[in-house]
Amino acid sequence: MQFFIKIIFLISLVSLSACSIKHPQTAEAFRKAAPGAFMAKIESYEVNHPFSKVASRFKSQAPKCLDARIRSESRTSTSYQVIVTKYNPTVKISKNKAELYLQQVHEQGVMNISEVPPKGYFLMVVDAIPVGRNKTRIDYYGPSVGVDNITKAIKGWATGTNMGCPDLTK
Amino acid sequence: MLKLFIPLSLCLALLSSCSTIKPYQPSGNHHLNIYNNSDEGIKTEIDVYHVNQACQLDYQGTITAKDTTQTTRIKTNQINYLVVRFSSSTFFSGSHSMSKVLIFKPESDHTYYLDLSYIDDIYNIKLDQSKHSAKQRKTVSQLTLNKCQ
Repeated sequence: MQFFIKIIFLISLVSLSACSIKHPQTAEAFRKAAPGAFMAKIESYEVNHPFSKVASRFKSQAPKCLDARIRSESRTSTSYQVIVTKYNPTVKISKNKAELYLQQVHEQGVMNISEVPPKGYFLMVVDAIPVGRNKTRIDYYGPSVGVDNITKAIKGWATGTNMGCPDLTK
Repeated sequence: MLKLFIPLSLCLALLSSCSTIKPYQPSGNHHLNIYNNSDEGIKTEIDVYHVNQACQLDYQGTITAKDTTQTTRIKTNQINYLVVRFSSSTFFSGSHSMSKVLIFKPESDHTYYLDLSYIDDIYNIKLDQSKHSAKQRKTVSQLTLNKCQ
C-alpha cells in the first residue's frame, strides 16, 4: 500500500514539475517568447498612414475600448462558472515606436499558475513603427486564435477605417 | 379542456407580470435622435435611468433601437444614465449580450445624437450634441458617479 502511495506521489510530482510554466513578465520577453509559443503568431502589415496618426489613435482608442472588466457566466446542467477578467491596456509612444500592450488579470474563476506581471499576463503586444513619411508598419505578437475581434479593431484604428471597439465578451 | 385552460391562463398571467422591461415614455423637451446600424440578428436596446438626488438609479423604461433614425425626448437638468445593450440569440450558439453605460446631463438648447452600430463583433457608440441653431456636433463629455460613492 505504501509503495502505491509513493508511486502516485512521484507521478504527481513529475506531472506538477512539468507544469511549472513561466509567463513573460515584460513586453520584450513576450515578443521573444511568441515565435516558439503554442498557438501564437507574429504578423506584420503596413498601413498608408503617418506614424503620428497611428500612434495618436492607439493612444485615444486603447483606453476607451480595451480598459474593461468582463464578467462571463457559463452554465450547463451540472456546472456553473463565473469568470471575471480585467483587461489592462498600455500605450507607450516614443519617437520611433508606438507600443500597445494588452494584459489581462483573472480576478475570479481562474487559478493563476505562475507569477502574474503587475498589470496581468500579456495577451498581445502591437508595435507601430514608421517606415516612411506616410507609411507605418504594424507588428503583432499574440495568440493566433480567439482574439480576432481585438486584432480587427486595432487594424481599424491603424488604417483609420473603423474606430470602433471590439466586443471583449466574445 | 377547461381544467387545463385555467391553470395555463394563470401561468401566462404570472409570467407576463414578471416582465420588468417597460417601453420608455418620452419625457422632457430635448430631442435625442438615435441612429442604429447593426448586423442582422443583433437587438439594440437602451435602458433609460434618471439619477436621483440620493444617487440612485430610477428606471424610466427601455428604447428598442430600430434600423432607421428615431427621435425621442429626454429631460434637461437631470443626469441621464443610459445602458446601451447589444444582444443576440440563436438556437445553436445560445444568447449573448454586451452593454456600455453613458452618463450625461443634457444642456438646454441642445439636440442629442446617439449613433450605434454593432458589426462583426465591433461596436461603435457615439453620443454627440449640437446647439439647436448650429449644425456642428461635438462629443458629449461623460460624467462619472464617483461623487455617489
